[in-house]
Amino acid sequence: MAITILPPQAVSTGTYEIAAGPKQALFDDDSDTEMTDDMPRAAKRAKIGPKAIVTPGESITEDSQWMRGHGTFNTNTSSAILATVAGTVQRTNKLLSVRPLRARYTPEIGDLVVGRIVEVQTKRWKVDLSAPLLAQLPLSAINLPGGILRRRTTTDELQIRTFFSEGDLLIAEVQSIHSDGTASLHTRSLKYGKLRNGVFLSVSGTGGGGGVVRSRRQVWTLSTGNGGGEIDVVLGVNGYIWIAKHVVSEIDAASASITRLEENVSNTVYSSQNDDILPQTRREIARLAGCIRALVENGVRVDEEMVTRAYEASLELDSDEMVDHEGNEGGEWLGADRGERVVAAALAASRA
Amino acid sequence: MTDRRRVNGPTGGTTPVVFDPELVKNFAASVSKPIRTRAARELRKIFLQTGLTPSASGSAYFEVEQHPSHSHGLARSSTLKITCTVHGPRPLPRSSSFTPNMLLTTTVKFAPFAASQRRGYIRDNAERDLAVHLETAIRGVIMNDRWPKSGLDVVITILEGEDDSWWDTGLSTMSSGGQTPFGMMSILSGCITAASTAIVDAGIDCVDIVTGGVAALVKKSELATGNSNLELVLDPCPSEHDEIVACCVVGYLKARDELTEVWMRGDVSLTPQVGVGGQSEVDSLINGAVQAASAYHAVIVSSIKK
Repeated sequence: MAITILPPQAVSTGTYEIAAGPKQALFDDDSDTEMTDDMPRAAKRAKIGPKAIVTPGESITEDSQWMRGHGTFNTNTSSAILATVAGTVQRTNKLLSVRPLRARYTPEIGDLVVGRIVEVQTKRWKVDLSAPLLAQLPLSAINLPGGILRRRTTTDELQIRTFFSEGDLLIAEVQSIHSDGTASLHTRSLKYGKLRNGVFLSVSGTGGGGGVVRSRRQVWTLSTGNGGGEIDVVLGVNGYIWIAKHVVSEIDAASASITRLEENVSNTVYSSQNDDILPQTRREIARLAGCIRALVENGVRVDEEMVTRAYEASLELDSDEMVDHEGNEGGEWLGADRGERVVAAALAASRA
Repeated sequence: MTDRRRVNGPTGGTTPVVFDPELVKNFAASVSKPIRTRAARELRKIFLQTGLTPSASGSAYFEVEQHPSHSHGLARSSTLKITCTVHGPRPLPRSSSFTPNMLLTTTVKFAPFAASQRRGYIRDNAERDLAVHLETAIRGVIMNDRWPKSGLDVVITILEGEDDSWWDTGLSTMSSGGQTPFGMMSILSGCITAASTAIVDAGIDCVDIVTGGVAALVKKSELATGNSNLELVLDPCPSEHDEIVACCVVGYLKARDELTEVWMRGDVSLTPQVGVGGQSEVDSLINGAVQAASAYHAVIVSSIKK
């Protein structure tokens, strides 16, 4: 039999099977796929309550067939698996782990992050990444407009605010981590730099219940419906998200070679002026933001696949409800019930 | 050690000026000694919240209910207000040598205005003593072998601490004889509870949640009659009692039924007593403190889940 490794599943319906009682038939099924059938367990789950959060020292299971993962431990005397952190129980096949409730983002080298400038100093900016400490972006780690490669002089230091000033949003990569845990960023790529033409969204970053997870692609372009055109989505690993209108640059970033960098960095990279954005595009940006918020509220991971599926599901929901986009606006509103339906549809689509 | 770096306030006490005419009229009544109105086994309500300090990896705020009888906004006795922040696990400085376990550092500091006696900014012996007690209480629950080469700082600030005296007199109601006042015991209990909540909030691996609890043997008032003139009270407020004979604070792990910390002070006997169900005074004190501690466990769990 081929071994299939299923992705970890947050127990969003509410619960984990606490080893409520003696060994149940529930755990006897040895096949790896047994966790997908939720039906026979519904009655049992209801007993544990809607929010299945375990606290340190609490017993998760006493069945010895489970393996213990992160956030758990067991004593030598019994086979019980106990939690060591407060969080939700996760199962990956036979592996039980506890995912902590609240974990702040800790920067790691190579992370793609979205940040906000909070402070301008003489030779560097201080950037908020929702990490415990502010990150720094040295003046020497950015591209100069026009792509000139040279030493940064005092002239550059004097006009530091023409590149980034307080409150500006930027996309950057973590270049190094200092010994005290602060991160140093760089924007020396055509993919990175100042952000405009869009909206900012802050969700919980890597580690928390639902939120942005590290994945292969954190930035992609989505072609939207309803005449919205192309929209860029940037999922920062730190939980900051940027959704913006896709602007076609004169030279495609992918074809730019590092040796001819100077020719490709246009003079407008540090512009704070938004382009014209059509109402349809604005509406679809709002819809995407609503989709991501709904995913987070329902404790689902935020990545390219889930965002795309949630977006498609919300479009379908609209066509089901016959939302008239000419007169009746507000179809992109995804509060409460609508959000849940979109997430449920997206999850169903991703399983299929 | 004298503090030469700051402009310190006056060392002696100062009296706030009272303007409220109602209060001036009934001043003597409103500053009279508070009396314990709850049952001997009843705890004061506590307030506990996590995540108050955004820059820390974990934090908690702990507060004990005010004495019910206060007039004109004038509290009769001080309560307990504690904030705790947890920083880490974070890398140790380069200069430090290799450790296979996480290094735990606890710091307890009274705010200068925490008690009727003003505190300095430099840590004094009482604060260091509390920090050591707190460290022993927490050390047992943290799985420090999971975080080699790192350090964990637990910083506690006591915003309001319980005095043995009630606020007016400034005199101790009982003879602490130059020793640590009994109020320190309930402060330690609060520190343990707050620190363990903050540690859980920081997501650090623990074998269990440790909670603090206090019990005391107090002299009964003359009116009450019984074969013993001592009474066991949980969660004592020192200013409410004429004389505390003995007091005990524990750090208790509920799920494992273990103690990480016991601190007992006073005059207690080890011989079994007839009055308290064949238990010795020591046993009944510890049991009482454990009972108080396990009640706080539920509060911690619910505050974490919020």
